[in-house]
Amino acid sequence: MISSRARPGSNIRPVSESQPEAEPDVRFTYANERTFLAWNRTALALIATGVAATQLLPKLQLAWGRRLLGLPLVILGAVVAAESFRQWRANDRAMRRGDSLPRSRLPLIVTLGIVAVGVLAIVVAGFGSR
Amino acid sequence: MMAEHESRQGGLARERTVLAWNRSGLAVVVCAAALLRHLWPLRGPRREVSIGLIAAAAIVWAVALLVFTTSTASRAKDALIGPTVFFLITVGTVILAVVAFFLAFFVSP
Repeated sequence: MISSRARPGSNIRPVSESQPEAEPDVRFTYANERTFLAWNRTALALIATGVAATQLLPKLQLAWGRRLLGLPLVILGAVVAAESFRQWRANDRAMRRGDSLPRSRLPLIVTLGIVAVGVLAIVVAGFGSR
Repeated sequence: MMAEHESRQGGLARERTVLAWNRSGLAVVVCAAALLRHLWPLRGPRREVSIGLIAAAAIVWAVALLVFTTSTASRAKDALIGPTVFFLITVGTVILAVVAFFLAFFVSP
């Protein structure tokens, strides 16, 4: 395990929870910040894609077909934005305590969400071809 | 020598972070432009409204970026950006999602 308070290459041991919080290495803090921003951009991309699906796609044979594809993406974007803040805070707290970083739920959330929208798209395309 | 190397590493990390903020600003502007899709094509009075909103988003983000880059010069050893900023960014993104939801649900293309 790499302690976020240790400098790379050093042998500083992680600090236990009973010890007071300390300012982590600035590079780890920047990395946590960039990760938050990357997930936030993903959220914005999902929102924009959801709006584009409802507004730009041609009219489908299935009623509400465009909304069926777009609205889940918008909701997924909101969930990713909220979860990215929770993850940033959890990572920051873990780094200050010298703990290992908590496991991120975001990859699973995004993967399941996009797979679900993909399945919906297949269903909508199937109805459209009849 | 080692200290200089570590200082350079920290500087590069800061530079990558500033670039990440820059990309996020561009993403906000693009998302706002997508949300204003129903106002396109930009003709008549709507044109001024749309261009004004997009320009305002770009200016706000550019100013925020300027403040960020100038503040990072003296924050190497201090606490970096506090949770309030990240919370506000998250709230802003969720608000964009709510606006997008209503636009997608109620505004016909």
